[in-house]
Amino acid sequence: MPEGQREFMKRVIHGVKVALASLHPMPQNALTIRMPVVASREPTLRQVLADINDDPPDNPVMPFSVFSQLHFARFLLLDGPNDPETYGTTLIFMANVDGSATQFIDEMVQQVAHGLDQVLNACRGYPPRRKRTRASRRAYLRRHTIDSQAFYINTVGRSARQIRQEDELHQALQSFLSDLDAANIVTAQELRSIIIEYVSGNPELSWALTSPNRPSLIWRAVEDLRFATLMALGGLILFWGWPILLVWLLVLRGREFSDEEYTHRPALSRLNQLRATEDIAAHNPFAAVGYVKPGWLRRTNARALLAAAQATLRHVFNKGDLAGVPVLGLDGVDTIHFARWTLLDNDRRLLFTSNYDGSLESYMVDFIDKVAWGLNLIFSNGVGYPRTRWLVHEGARKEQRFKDYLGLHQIENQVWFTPYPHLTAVNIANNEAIREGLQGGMDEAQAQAWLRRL
Amino acid sequence: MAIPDTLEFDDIQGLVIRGYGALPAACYLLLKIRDLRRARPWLRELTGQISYASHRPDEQAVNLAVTYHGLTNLRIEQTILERFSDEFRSGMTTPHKRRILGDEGDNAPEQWLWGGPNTTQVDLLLMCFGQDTVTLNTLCHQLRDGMTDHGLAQIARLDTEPLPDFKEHFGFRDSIGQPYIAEFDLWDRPHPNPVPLGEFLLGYPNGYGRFTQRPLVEPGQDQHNLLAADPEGSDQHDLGLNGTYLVFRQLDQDVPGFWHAMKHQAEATDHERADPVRIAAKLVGRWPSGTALVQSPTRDDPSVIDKDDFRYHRSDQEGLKCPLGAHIRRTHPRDSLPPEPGSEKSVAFSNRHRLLRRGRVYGTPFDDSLDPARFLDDLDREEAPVARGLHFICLNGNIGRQFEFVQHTWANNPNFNGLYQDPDPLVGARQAYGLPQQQFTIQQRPARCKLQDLPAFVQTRGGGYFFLPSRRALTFLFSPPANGRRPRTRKGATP
Repeated sequence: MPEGQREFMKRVIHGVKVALASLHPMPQNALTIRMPVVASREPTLRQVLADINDDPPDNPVMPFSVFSQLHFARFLLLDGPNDPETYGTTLIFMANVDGSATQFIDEMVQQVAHGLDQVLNACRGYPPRRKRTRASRRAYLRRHTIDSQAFYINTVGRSARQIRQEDELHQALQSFLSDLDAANIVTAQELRSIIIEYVSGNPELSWALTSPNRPSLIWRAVEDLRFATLMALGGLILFWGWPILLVWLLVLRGREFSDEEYTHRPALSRLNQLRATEDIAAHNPFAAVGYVKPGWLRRTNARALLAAAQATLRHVFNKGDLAGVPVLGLDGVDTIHFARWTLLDNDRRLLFTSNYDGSLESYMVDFIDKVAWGLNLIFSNGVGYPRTRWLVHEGARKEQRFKDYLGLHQIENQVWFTPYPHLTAVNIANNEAIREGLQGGMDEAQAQAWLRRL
Repeated sequence: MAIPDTLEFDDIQGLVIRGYGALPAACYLLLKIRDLRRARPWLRELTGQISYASHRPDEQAVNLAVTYHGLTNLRIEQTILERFSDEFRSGMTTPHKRRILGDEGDNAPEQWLWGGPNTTQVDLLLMCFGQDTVTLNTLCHQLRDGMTDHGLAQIARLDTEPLPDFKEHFGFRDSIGQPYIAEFDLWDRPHPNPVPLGEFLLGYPNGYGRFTQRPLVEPGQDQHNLLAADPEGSDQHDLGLNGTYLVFRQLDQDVPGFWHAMKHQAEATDHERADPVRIAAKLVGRWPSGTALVQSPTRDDPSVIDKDDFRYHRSDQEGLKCPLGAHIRRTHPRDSLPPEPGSEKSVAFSNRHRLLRRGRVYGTPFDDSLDPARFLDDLDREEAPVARGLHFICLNGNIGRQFEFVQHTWANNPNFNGLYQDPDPLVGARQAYGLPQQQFTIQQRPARCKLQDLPAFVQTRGGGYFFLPSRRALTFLFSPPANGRRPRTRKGATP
């Protein structure tokens, strides 16, 4: 297929996806915009991005704190793959937003048009000065929006506004408790009712006595229906296609013996450059990009596994515990806020980005200790990944090879914004449970368990 | 991947398997290489004087470790230098390391007594032990005379002070929760949770059943076969085998400040049972006698014999006995953290982040009794601050996954274990993410008690990452290059 046609098909597919999503929208969405950079303007662009990153919430160019529906945002500069089909450097903007991605684009065009111009001035095809209107900017951003193949949301339906509000609630209750003369309070129920009384008597907190906005019953029914349909589809594929899948698996097993495994280590200077911007908040942004193993088999495999991952992430692992399946003895990870997998350059490269709690060392330890199997399934399609056995074994369990592999593929975030830098995913979930516990009746044991959260 | 039946104890430096408890006098000499040509023969001779694990010394002992800077000054080939671990090569004072280790503000390396950017770069660390001060001083003088004649200079001598009953300066018994390594146990006692040897010694399977990254050299770089073959089976020679990494931190302890704060907190909490020692025990997780709060929650019970024999999950999941953020619960969480708290899986996880502690105390005690009650009698007895604290030394095969992880992910992390603004109350940094982190939560019913505005009690005064080589590796490092003179590497070049 010629490049032009392929591009056209991608736009059509993207359009259909957007249309379908608007009928049954997810409460949180991933926005990814990828724009080609004019080489001569790259130095200026880097400077603008550095200025933004000096103070992501309140810088004069693009003050991210104006967006109440925004969770995390980042700008990445991605070098083109070095082979004949040249793509130059591209600028990637990513945001995790409440509401639809297109709504957020509209919001950006309205609120930070001037800042967008300053950044995107360096991008090829961005409307020239005299043609810059809301519509032309919006059209440019929409035209360069790309899909992610899989998207993980720690807790579907929890908005940035809710997270900020419940943080305020938590802090208010902490001060209240610290100032409270608790000498005469004996039972947990008694204390709980004093707390509820305080909240209801405080106009700034009384919102907390209502439940957070949750997806509607109808939405949830459609979601369940979607899951059931996908399960049925999966069942059919297994039932009719198992011989093909078996052959597929055996062929892949064969490839595992011959696929190249990187044995070199990343340069220490490079690692220290990456570390230089890490650990400035309770969570960190991670970004890594790598080549998908060449050939039809691996690319199809990557596509298929990402599709399966997407279904699982959306319908199963949507309550804060990624990949935890107690009945199978699989331990989940509760430190990831958002993650996404995005295929680039006609599926030749895969970009993985996430926002996780703690240091990279602890993140890697979580990968190795808890979800190595899941990582192996997807990333073993990447060139140089530590050798796996039967797609799930070994791979990331080879601690040093895996850490080196990540170091070889990690890239810097030129800009990173977090609206709640002092909170971990566990804190956020705890805050929500505190709010929920303000409602309804509780016996002594329940009230005691609730008070433990404070 | 079996471990050989008998370890080559005569290849392993003695400090790995013993803390020289029978040699109470100790000091650490920080050295700089001035003239390599003259230093090399002396150092090579010194390898014969080093104490190895095969022999339990009863008079004196010497162990030797080297910094990355020291390796470059020994003019080790660049290709070999690059095989050492990233943490060891980067050192302790990069901007990122300062951030994660808490060495900012008052702890900043610019103010360190040694190991920082404003002091002479350390090349070698000589750890000297003696049965008494006289023996130690004789040993040190002898070493010092020898070294100054041979192109080496002493940058500093760090003295230590043996305190009775393994106490540290705040008045608590220390050195209890050490990892159990079956291969070092001469009596072969049964132990439920041995930590794999590879966690503390390079060249053996680690907690993942694999070999930790270590320096391997090409056979051509070791033409005299000074080193042993790579136990993993490659044709390379193993410079790391039977060696390990040593982390050194000089930590000043503010004893009157600590007990003033405890007294103040006891008054502020306004609780009938709140007394300073009780609150301090909550911070530490142990009573002054060393008995853990999990073992004896309401009062100190010195009679508990095995103070290391407890777990958290079943007996104290909520932290009602030992608070969730207490010092010993976060630096050695046993079975209290995911995955599956209470399970062997959780213990195995915790065991991949263990440190073999070998440090010693320095400075005169606040009160010779080391009894907190006596401290509290007169907290203002000292007119000027007295330098005292801990020369924290620990051994680990993977500095990133062990020491740095414990210090950052567990000790300094204010969000540890579901908490919000609680760093390790003893050693944790009081600032993170641009915010003050000064709380400590004591879980109790019906609601927690929160200590506010905890000042820092510990200050970093020096530190560095070292390599503690095997006997073979020492010989290799101190031997002239095999192929005649090599081009001199840039001095102090750190990649």
